[in-house]
Amino acid sequence: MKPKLLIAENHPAMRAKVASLLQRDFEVIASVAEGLAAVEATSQFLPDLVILDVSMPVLDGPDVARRLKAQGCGAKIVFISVSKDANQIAACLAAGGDAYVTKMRMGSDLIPAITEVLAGRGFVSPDV
Amino acid sequence: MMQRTKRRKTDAVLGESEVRFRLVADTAPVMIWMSGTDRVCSYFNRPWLEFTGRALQEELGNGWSKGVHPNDLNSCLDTYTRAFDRREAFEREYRLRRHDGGYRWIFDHGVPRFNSDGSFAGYIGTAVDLTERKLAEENQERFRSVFEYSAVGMALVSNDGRWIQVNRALCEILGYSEQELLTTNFQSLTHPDDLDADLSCAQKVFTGLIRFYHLEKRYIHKQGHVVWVTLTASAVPDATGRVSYGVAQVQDITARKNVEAALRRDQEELQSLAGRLITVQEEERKRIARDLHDDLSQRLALLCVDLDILRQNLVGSTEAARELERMRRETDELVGDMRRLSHNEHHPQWDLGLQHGVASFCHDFSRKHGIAAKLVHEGDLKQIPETVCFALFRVLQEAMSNVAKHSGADRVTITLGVQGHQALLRVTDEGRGFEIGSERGLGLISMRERLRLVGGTMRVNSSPLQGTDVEAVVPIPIPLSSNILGIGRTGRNTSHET
Repeated sequence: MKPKLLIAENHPAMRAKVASLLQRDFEVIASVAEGLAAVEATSQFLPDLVILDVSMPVLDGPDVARRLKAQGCGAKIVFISVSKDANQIAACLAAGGDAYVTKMRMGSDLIPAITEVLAGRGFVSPDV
Repeated sequence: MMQRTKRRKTDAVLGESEVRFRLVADTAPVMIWMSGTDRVCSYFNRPWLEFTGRALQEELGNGWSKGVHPNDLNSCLDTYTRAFDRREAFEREYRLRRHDGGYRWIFDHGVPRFNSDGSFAGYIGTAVDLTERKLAEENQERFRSVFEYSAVGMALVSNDGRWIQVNRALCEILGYSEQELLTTNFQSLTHPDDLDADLSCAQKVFTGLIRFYHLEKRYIHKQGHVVWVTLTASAVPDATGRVSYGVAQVQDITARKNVEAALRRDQEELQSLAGRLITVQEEERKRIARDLHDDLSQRLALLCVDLDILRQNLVGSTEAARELERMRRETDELVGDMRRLSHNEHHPQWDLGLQHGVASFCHDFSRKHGIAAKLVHEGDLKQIPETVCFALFRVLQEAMSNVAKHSGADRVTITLGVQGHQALLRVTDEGRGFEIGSERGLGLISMRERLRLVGGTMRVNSSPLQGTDVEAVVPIPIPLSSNILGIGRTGRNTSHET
């Protein structure tokens, strides 16, 4: 059985790209465009892992992660962002993220990151 | 014989009456002179002689005229001669030299005198020194013309507010004629909003609490428009110290008030324009940053992903693979450049809060300028509203840019905090400082303007070689928790009372 994923990303083309990269190896059970919807969909569909864009309207990625952790949600969290800023990465991991992948390297890093995280380890893109 | 006896008797009677006359005349409070039918003076009483300080012999005949002021002599003698010829009474005023050498104004009233048989005997005159009265009259006249022709409006006002006397300038200021003003009072011409203040001051003057007051107030002109004036009102106490009258001095300042109002309007308009400009600028920057970040950098990142996939699927040509790798790197760098650009315009890390944004900014600043930036946090920064965060961040950028450009310092301390109901940002360096007042072009004006828009203020401390300390303070809304505390305190107080 394929691991179940949820994608939260506000840029439509990016959202579609993430889904297309992952649909072969994983079951993408939902994709949403903003943070509040991400929290609700996670509670509803109980994915194994959530892909979270860092910058989203209403609730941003770290906000979503904090809420999920506060609700006792066990889903793993992989952040995606165009930023390589060390402070931002630190903030994301502190908010409960298990991995941080730069969007430019998703082609090579996203599946390894998910695999690592599902195996209980962490991952950060090597270009940061 | 009978004739001679009668004559002697008459002489005796005359002599007796003359002696009595002179006795009376010498003790009279006025100066008295007499002349005979030959016009020349034949008698001066003691007060006259004491006044002039001369002997009777010197004054007799025309001798007295030596004491008359040369300028008055002709008219003095003319008046006498003309009256004498007609046997008429006359009055004349002239200056007469007193025993101390000073001239005094004399009022001289002469009447023809007649013998008991009705024949003309000459003149008798009484003279009084009216110098004091004359001076008083002159003063009064001078005062009257000062009052009348003063460019300042003046009025004598009774303690019930009626105008007792008004001058021309006041009539012009208020638009009423003198007659019209004298039938009304100051209360009825005062702007309703200014009446209470004026009345309460006036009452203090009339009850003797204060001697005068100074007030900017409005009258209503006869034609209905408002006249702005400065009023100085002072007490006029009578001999017993009671104040029944006041003097009002009124100066029309409508023109000045209009200019002031226009200036204020211009200034407010300028400030609101400046404020709007900054708001529009911020909005525009935000929009550009959002566009850059939200769309363009995402699409470039997508391009990277696609190039990666393309290269993975590429079979054969290593040169094409190398070319693809170069394009991918180029695109990756483009994302970074775009981020830096949008980073300058607007801080994407905003989304992670002020603390993070400032930390990230300081980190970049240190790397770029080689100046160690130490960041100190105080209090709960989440209480700071976004608009205030934004203003503080712009102030930080400006201040840090000054540190980099002007201070020559190798370290700078940034303190960011919440103290009570204030957000506080302080940027302190130990650089070369500057003379306060010489700081044009350091962006202080735009910093102040940004802070003003969120109700904040800025203080700058600097002097040459002493470093610079910039402190921005912005009031922030009271957080919910302290409201609850406030209610709790009230409750405790109530229970103490019961």
